[in-house]
Amino acid sequence: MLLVSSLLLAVALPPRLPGRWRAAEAVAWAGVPLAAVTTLGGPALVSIVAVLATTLGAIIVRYTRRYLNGHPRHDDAARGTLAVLATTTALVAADDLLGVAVAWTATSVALHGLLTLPDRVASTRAAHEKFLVSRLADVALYAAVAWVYAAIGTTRLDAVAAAGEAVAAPMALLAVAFVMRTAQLPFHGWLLRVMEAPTPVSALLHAGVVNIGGYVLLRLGPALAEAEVARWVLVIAGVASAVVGGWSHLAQPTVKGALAWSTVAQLGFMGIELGIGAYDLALLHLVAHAAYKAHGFLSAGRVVERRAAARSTPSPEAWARAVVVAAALASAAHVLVGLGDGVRGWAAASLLTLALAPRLTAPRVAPVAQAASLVALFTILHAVFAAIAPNAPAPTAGDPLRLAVVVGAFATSFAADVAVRAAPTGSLARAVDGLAYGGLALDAFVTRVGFAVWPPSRTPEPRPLERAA
Amino acid sequence: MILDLDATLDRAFDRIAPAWPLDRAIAVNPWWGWIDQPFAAAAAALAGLGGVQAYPDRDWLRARLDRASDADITAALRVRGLSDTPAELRARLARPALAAATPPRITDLVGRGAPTVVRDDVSRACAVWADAAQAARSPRREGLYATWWALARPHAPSHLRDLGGRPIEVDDVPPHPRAAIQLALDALGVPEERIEAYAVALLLDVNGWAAMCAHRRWEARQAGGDDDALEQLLAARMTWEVLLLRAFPTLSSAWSAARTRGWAPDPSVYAYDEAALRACEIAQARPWIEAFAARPARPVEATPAVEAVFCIDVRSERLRRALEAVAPTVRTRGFAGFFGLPIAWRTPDGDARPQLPGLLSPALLAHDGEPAAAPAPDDPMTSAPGSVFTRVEALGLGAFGALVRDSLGWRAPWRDAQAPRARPRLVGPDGAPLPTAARVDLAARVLGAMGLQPPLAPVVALIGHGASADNQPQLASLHCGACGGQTGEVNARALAGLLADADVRAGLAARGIDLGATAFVAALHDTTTDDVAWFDVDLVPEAARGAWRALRDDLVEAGRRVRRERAPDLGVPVDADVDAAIRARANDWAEVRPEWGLAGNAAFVIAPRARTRGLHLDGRVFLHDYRWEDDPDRRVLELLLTAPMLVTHWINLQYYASTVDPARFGSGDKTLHNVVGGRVGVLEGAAGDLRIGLATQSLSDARGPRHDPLRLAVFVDAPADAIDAILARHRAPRDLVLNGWLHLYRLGDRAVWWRGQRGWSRVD
Repeated sequence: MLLVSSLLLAVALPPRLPGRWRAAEAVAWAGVPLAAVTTLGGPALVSIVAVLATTLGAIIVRYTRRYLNGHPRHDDAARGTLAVLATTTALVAADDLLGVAVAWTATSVALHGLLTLPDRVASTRAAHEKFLVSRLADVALYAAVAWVYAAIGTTRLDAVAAAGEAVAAPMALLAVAFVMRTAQLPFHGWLLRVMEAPTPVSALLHAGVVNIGGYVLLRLGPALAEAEVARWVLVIAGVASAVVGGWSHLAQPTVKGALAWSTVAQLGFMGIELGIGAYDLALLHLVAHAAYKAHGFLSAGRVVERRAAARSTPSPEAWARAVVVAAALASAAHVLVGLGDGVRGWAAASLLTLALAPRLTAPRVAPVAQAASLVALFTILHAVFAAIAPNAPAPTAGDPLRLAVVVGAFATSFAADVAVRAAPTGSLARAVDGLAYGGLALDAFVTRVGFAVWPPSRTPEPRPLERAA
Repeated sequence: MILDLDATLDRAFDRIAPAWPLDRAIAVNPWWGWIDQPFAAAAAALAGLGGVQAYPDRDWLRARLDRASDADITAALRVRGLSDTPAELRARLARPALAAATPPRITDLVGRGAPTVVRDDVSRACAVWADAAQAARSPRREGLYATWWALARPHAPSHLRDLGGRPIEVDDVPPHPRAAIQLALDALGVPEERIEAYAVALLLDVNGWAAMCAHRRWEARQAGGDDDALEQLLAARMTWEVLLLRAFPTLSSAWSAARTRGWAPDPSVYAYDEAALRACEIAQARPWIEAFAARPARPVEATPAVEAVFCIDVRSERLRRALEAVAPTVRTRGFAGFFGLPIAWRTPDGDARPQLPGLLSPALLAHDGEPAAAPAPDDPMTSAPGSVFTRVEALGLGAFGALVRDSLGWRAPWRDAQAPRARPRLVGPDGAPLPTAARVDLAARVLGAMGLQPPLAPVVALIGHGASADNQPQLASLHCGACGGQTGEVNARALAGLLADADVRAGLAARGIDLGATAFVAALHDTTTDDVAWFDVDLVPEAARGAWRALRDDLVEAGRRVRRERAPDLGVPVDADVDAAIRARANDWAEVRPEWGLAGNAAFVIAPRARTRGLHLDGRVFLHDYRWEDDPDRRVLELLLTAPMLVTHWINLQYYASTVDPARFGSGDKTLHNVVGGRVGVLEGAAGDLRIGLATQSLSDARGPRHDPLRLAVFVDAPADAIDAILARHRAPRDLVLNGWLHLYRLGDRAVWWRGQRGWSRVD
């Protein structure tokens, strides 16, 4: 993996390099088999994420090469993209927490260059906002590294993972870094606003860089399992992000705005899965969402040819029937194949029920068949990832309450959905839609404080008539 | 005096040109509302009210003047009544142009980011209100103004505070837009005679959304109604002015001064810019003028073996020239690509999609006889806040397949998803069958306008055009503008079908238009690949099959030649792979320049093809066939000067404006485009105004700009009195010619004449 990283850097670093793009694409594609081969024999988690990162990287490099052709920043884009990929692969390969932290910071700094278009005020402000949150996350991250070293005398990942309760406090700091770096509420504002960069940079960010936090916590899974505070941090921020983001991404009038809010929500869900110890699902989510979101961004221009679907307004009876059928399907999956141990399995079945129910509100056969195949697919994937992901933690005393919070929040959100669909123009719907569109405006305060502490460099307002003067 | 506010605001709204939505985007002159004024006067008003730059950069003009002869420059100076020498003009252009004028807006007085804050705020509300396709849930209210206030109300105080204003009460904002405007005008003390200009200045500040609202008004008025979105937008924007003035009371003296000073510079500040631009335009037209003047007005033409009718689009010129070179017995003809059919297409989805120029409204419907597809069944999981996670976990891995497929271009070639599933047929606007007499009328009218008179060639091909490309929000701008930003497939097929109808042919014969055995066959020129697709060839009778096949093969060869001609401009090496490389652009999701559209467009020729045949016009000239001898009552000429000339001018001025003021009239960087409302338009990035016009990538590449901002030269082969009579009757073409929005030339016998303010003068 370090070989991949070095090759990428070799193409990225020289300030002038004729034929850089040709070399960039060659190196990026070569990175995929190299990543697979060089991680063979290690943990499956590392192999999967290494192949994922290099594959998405190659696709994004190929896309950027053509997309920014003739753009003043064509060469900068090559250098920045390769630098992000190099630091990311280095992070995946690292087996020491300090190495992970350094690579993570380096990724963020490399990305900062891609996000900053010097002639665009909105872009420089947004990149600065992200920079602030990332540096704040760095404070938590390096404090965690130091604390780990103080506690157990080493920062090797396998040692940290096995250190159990001895590293519970630094794990909480890591969870805080995760929340910031993965744009969880209330630190999500930057993710919405850095949409000021070219489309493939957004793909790189949303499908790649923001997922790093999930990978880091998965590598420390056993330690996370015994860190109660960290797990609560993940669950609370995750529930807030998944529920608010779940609503907000539906209320955005722009295609990229919807994709950005969707990332906030999806990473929140991954955070919940980490917090409740469903590591297999967290890994599945990481991989599936990365592919889904990369494609979502890269093909965002096709939205014009898409036809808006009619919105359904099911009756209360239809909802009731749908919940019953969905519960039957989810329970069957759990009883027959298993969706997790004990309470966790039943919580997963509950979330699956709530997710499937909307599909089943139409009294037809096709939706039932589709929902059943979705459950089957989900169950199979769950089983596959359960076999390859780090071992699920043993249940702890905090689990039932955490799961109750999660299921309760999703059930409330589900009830709100039923209610607003029943009265789409009612006062509840108005209130919910207003809140959803603005995402509760939770980010404004954080941004205001951040900019007060460390203001963005002053860029003059563009004057109306910039003529030869 | 009691001010008629309605009429005043209406005049202000007339200044804002419409912008069509993405899925039916056509080129528009964004300054269409100003053609009643000389170009320089419009430029001055736009500069004063909106900070618009309507003339090219002086450095560019100066460099470009090197291509003009001293005679051309002197001619341009004299037309403007200037006595300077060319050297003096160059020296004047070396000085800076008009200094930056601050538009008369409170936001601009406040500065400190206020223009951006207000523009972003109003734009956000417009996006929510205009979106009918993207969001599943929306905080939209009844009307743009109410939507804006519902969204702005919670944030307005903190915005004002962030800008450094004093805390103010905002709850007294009137609920009704007209009341808000009246209140604001009082509070701001705008002098009555300046209300119109002030409204324009505010609308120019959110020009993209104003253009979107203007399009609603345009369509509503075409249908005999009206629309008040512009007024609502103005109310929202004007209310911000009031809020700012209240939060910054210290500005009231500055505002008092601002509202009484002159708002627009005197047009004479542009005298030298205008003269230089004109000199460049004369110099550009010079080679064409000489070429046209060197040709006899009526060379003898043999009856062609095959006749091929193309759209007037500049991209057709290349293919026509290549086809004529490959097959000298083929005659090509230029006609607006909607082929004169005033139709809306009932798409398979059941929408009525206009397939005609934006200046006209559909009078007929075309459909393919198949039932409209039921709307795709709504999958409630995609619009349920808690279902998206399971969907991604279960189905997200499938996106890897899509990523690989799209990266390698393994997709079916692009095709209009709403293309006909069977031969389109024409019906009345209500869907009722058209009586034979009406169809015969239509056919006779179209044939007359096209100048197609018996005896006709055995095969007449009707070749529309469209561009195939993937992942392009602005694809419609590459399609046929005459077909309302769609491909010309429906129109070509509908006309071929109409002219194949036995009843129609009998009816035409009864009127003395005997089509004989002539077969009409429809085709589509793909301007990305230069391949030609044929439709409904079963309509071609056996006897004409041979001639049709020969034409098909000739067009294959012609397309091959055109690809080689275009390749250098596309940055594609002309080698063995050139055909594959160009065709691959049609299916590349990362390609931002599938083809160059109408970049470089410069002239419009209304004349028989014989006057231009054999000339290399470089894909820069619109060509419309016209023989005035066949048009005794000048009805066709009248149509040409009031419709196609306006359309070509719209295209030309869109390219012009996007080039000279890309920040306001161009849509910016394609790589940042963010589609609003599914099809409403694009933002550049996460926020800001709706962006209209052409993107940077459509106007330039790494090697530099691809379009020269020069106004259209129109060459008409018709008698001077005929042209003048039409100009006297029709205001828009007269304004365009006399106010310098385009240059009108007349092709005589071995001479070319230019139409100035005072009449025709011979160009030497």
